[in-house]
Amino acid sequence: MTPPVPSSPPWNSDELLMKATLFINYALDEEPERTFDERALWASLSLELLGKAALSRASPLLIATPNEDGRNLLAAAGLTDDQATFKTIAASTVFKRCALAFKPFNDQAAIRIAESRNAYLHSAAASFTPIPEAAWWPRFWALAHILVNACDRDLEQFVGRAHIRSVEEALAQNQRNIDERVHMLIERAKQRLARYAAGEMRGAELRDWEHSADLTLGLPYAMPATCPACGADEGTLEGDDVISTEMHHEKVSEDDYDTWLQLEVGADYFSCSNCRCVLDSLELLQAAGLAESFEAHGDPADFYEPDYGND
Amino acid sequence: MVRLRDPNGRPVPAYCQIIRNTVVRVIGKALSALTQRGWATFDGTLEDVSNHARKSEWRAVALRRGDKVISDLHALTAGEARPNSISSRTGLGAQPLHTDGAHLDTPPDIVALASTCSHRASTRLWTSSGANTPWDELHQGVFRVSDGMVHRYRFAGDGDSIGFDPCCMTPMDESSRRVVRFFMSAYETAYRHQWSRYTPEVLLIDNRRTLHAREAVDPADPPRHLIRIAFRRPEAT
Repeated sequence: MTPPVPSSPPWNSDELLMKATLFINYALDEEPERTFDERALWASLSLELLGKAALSRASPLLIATPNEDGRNLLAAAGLTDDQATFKTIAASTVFKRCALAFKPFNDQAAIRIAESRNAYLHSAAASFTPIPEAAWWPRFWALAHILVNACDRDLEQFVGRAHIRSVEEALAQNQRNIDERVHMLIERAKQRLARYAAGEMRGAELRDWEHSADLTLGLPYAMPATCPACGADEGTLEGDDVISTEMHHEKVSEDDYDTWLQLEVGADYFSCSNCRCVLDSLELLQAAGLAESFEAHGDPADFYEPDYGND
Repeated sequence: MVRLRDPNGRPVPAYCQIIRNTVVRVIGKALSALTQRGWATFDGTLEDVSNHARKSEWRAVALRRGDKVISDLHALTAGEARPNSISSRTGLGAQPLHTDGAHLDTPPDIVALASTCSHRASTRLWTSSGANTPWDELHQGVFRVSDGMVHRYRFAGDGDSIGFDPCCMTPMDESSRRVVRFFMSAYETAYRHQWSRYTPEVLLIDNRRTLHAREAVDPADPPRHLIRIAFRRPEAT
């Protein structure tokens, strides 16, 4: 049997979004009756298509698998007409790119959903996820709504009027979950610091405390920050995603200039060496009121070739 | 008053001009009704419509690859009908309410059906002006549309336009199945345009908001013959 001829390129953003809509309809429709596992499966497939639609909207090259002969890239660039064998990038790559492009998309959370899907599809796993349905949907919509927005649509356009209320409730629940988690992490850090200061720490707790003074990740860029838990200025914000750069020159002598780059870096991680508080995602940083980005100095040599000279 | 001239530049007789002015008035009235009601009829021919189309820069479009823009529509049994047509599915039975050219990327804006005699089988017409139009489902339900070679996913609703034809559109989800059920039931209460005149008559259909369907044809009926042209209006700039 001859396979159907696709109407438009397989990287077409609108077509990807349309298929993402179909799959989310499968996940949300009341009829036919579906188990949570099946709904989560369709939702996870929709999430990957949403990511591809959002990336492809900027450029189809972003979802083409960069193989040796460049066949997929050439097709996506419109230089060849090879649509039939076009291959898109893996879900994990889609989500990593979305995390860089569409803040505050959490690629690790999305990859966990993709892994659950793969395990459900390709192994003997009898359920999609051990996470209860009521907790799974808020996490899913926290990811999906960023990608829907990246496709220049609103959630109601994506899920329809019949489902918008439940989706918004899930998003509100997700925000409450994040706020509660931040509250819990901050209160626990305060409690630990108080116990240490009062000399109440013993055994393993004291050993761990003393061994964990430096909780930084060692990401390329960092800046001091006030800790939201203990208020000490011993916190460190870290990140490795340079959002923007600006070249600066300063005359340091008659014929010598100092040149540096001022960088704006996206914050990903916070730790405090005083109370050992750790907040390890952009969502948590936002909820704790920490900066989402910070300035740092960069060496132009890391970004540009040395100046050309005729020597 | 501007005097009409024939293609050779000679002034046309006064009585021709009177007829021409009358036709222009009649079509103008029909177009006004088309805008308000979604469909309109007038005593005239497809040539009158084509003349107006030329002046208004409407572009005639074929509804099937390789076909001419003017189609002869006959009532055929499923066996006689062209493959992959509505008649190949319904035969002489009632057709479902549909949009002409729903399988195209952009369906035509206006469909003109012309007859020169009366027919027993009426044309049903349903317009989206009613409050009961299922817009949520039209904008959320996904259909797989096929023109025979190309398959793609589409909504039946596009803004305030509708493109629906259950013969080339397969409902894929709950919302699209509701759309199908809605139009099946809408057929029963749709307006019946009866082809009862013995003089040339044209039915103009606003194809983006009015669905139409031929009623069942009795094999004993005299042959039913309509002529159709579909047009696209010029794109708004």
